[in-house]
Amino acid sequence: MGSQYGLKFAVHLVTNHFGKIVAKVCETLFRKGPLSLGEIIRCTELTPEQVKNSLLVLVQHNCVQAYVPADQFRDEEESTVTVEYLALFDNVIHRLRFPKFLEIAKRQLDDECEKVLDGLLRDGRLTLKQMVERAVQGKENPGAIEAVVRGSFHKLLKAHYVERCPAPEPVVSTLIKAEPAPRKRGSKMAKKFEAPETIEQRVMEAALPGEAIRFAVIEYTGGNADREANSDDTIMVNVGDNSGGIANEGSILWRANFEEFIRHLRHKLLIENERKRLDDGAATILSAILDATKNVEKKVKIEKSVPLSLDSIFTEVTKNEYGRTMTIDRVRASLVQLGCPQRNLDDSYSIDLKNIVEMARNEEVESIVLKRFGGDAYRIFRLLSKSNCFLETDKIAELAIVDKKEAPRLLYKLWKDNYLHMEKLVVTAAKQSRFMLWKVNKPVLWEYVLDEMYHAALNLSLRLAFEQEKDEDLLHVSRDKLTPTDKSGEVNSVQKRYLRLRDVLFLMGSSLMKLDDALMLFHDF
Amino acid sequence: MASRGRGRGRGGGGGRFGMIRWAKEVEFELFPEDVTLPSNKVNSDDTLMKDLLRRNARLQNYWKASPYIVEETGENKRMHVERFSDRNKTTFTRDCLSQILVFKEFPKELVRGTARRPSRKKFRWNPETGENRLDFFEQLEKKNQGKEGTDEKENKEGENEEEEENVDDEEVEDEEEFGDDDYQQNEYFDDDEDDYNDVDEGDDEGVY
Repeated sequence: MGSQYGLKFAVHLVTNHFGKIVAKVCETLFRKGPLSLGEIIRCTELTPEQVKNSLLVLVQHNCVQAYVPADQFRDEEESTVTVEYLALFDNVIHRLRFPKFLEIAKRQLDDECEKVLDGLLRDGRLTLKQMVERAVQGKENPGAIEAVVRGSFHKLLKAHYVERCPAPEPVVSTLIKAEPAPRKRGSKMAKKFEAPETIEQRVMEAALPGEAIRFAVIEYTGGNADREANSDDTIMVNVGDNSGGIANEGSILWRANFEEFIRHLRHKLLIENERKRLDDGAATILSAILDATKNVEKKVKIEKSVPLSLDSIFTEVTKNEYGRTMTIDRVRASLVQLGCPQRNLDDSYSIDLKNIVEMARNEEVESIVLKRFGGDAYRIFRLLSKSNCFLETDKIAELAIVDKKEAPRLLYKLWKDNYLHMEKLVVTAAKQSRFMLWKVNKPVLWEYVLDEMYHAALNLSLRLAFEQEKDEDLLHVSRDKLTPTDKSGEVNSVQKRYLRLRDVLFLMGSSLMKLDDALMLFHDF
Repeated sequence: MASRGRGRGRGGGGGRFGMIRWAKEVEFELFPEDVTLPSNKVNSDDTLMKDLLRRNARLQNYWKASPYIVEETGENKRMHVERFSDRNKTTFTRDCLSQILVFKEFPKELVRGTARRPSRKKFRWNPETGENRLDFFEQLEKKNQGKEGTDEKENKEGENEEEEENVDDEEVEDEEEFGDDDYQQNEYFDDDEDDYNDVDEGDDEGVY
């Protein structure tokens, strides 16, 4: 990940959770790319024991993936295998959102599922046996609690919120794919630009367990007619046949499936945005479509929803209590509004989701411009953002109803802060005249705004930690001293500090949570 | 560093005899307040946000007390002479990583060595409930307070018993681990009985 403040923020998160030594190892891996154990020891100048422990912690919490680059096997001789470690930026940033994931589990499923998920988020990876142990420790009724834990675990698995851990040391080819052969001359099809797969993507793909076993409790061990299959992916252990199940419980590691949570949050954003833009009906239809195709989506950032025929959409919509009264014509009309004007070739509809995300991003950036530069600059920016082409200074002033003398000043200010792209044009006609052309370059701008947001998140976190440390003593005072006891409601200085600290923590904490929504919008959705 | 707040702007008037201009010292501000922030109000009815913050606080407290923080122990521990005043101090010892990690699923090179056998000691799943840390947002929720009180008490009882067990075994485990380290790393191992001098690196002059 190239984002400068993104890396700093990620390292800050790791420092907060795991201490400075683990953070140092993590930072080295971020800055220098995948490294082997020896290289890490050399770069960080820590002891081998400390580096090994740090890597164990990072792998346990899914922040680092080890792999074996396949190129070494090109030599005929049997050289020692060097394992390289790759730091996973996305997973580190996800740690900021753990409370939101817990909230989702609680809302979608129940409180017990939230507790099981809590264990997985705290400890990174656990076997089913460990999950049971954790719930039972110190409590009185182990049998009943164990059954509850198992039930919750299976619910989480069925919803795909929990997955198997990836392989510890997969072999990955690190050769960069050669360019495909040039097309025949005269071919009219434009070649679609596909970014070459990064190392990170390739490693993650290789490490991921196959779709069949990713959400399966036991592996296929040959034909057993008694075994029940619940859905495509989950297989329940039959009560009579416990031998395979129990043996595996202590050895299969499970972890939270961040991808599914992010997908859920993305769907929520899409639906809420359409609700604001159109109406409840459209939102219901979109939510029905996304729910139905949730398990079929291959990755999170899909551009168009999975195609569905009108009939299947209609059946899904009527299952929902809000959609029960809709007619099929209403559904068709809403589909047009949602951004799917005509049907695909095979009579199915798919909605342009990328468009909805882009609209949300535009809105976010425009609101930043409004707050930072004022109403006039906001109009100029909005004009440029919608027209999506180069416009000249005077034309901008005319269209945005801004004073001709003000316009260049505001444009320059926006340009200086990297919100606009500028080009100079010199036209030699009767007299030489210089034109300044301005444009909003969205992909570049969004990367820049994302970096600024990481910077803001970092600052917030640092200040939050500072405020907490400053009043560290307050954390250990007993609760009775902190609430005002006398009727007049007078507060002494300790209570004042406590109230202030509480408000400060709430304000900054909630700002960070909301900022995180924006981070997800620009990075994960 | 010493004159950070004082001696400002020394020699700013140079240029006459070709004097070197000193850089102007500026006060170090940790959080420069040069931005005007919009006025803010704490919305105390936002239970969703409070829940999120409460969960966050709990997670952070857990990680602070978990075995996942790799500390800079090692040499300091061996040289430590136990004083009388230390007896009343309750030192918090973390669990060992081998109590929780399933070593089979890690890259082999990280797991090599006899220190990595799975420990038979029970893992403390809630080490943070032993410490009395004030949780800001827990106080603000009115429901479940009674229930939570009894749950915490149960946990604490369970925890205290195990904490005592763990402290004794912990030291035995640590010695075993140190055994391996001595041979694997080329560490400076202080062989003489001189416990009053800490291990110095490369300071040969003081020792006679």
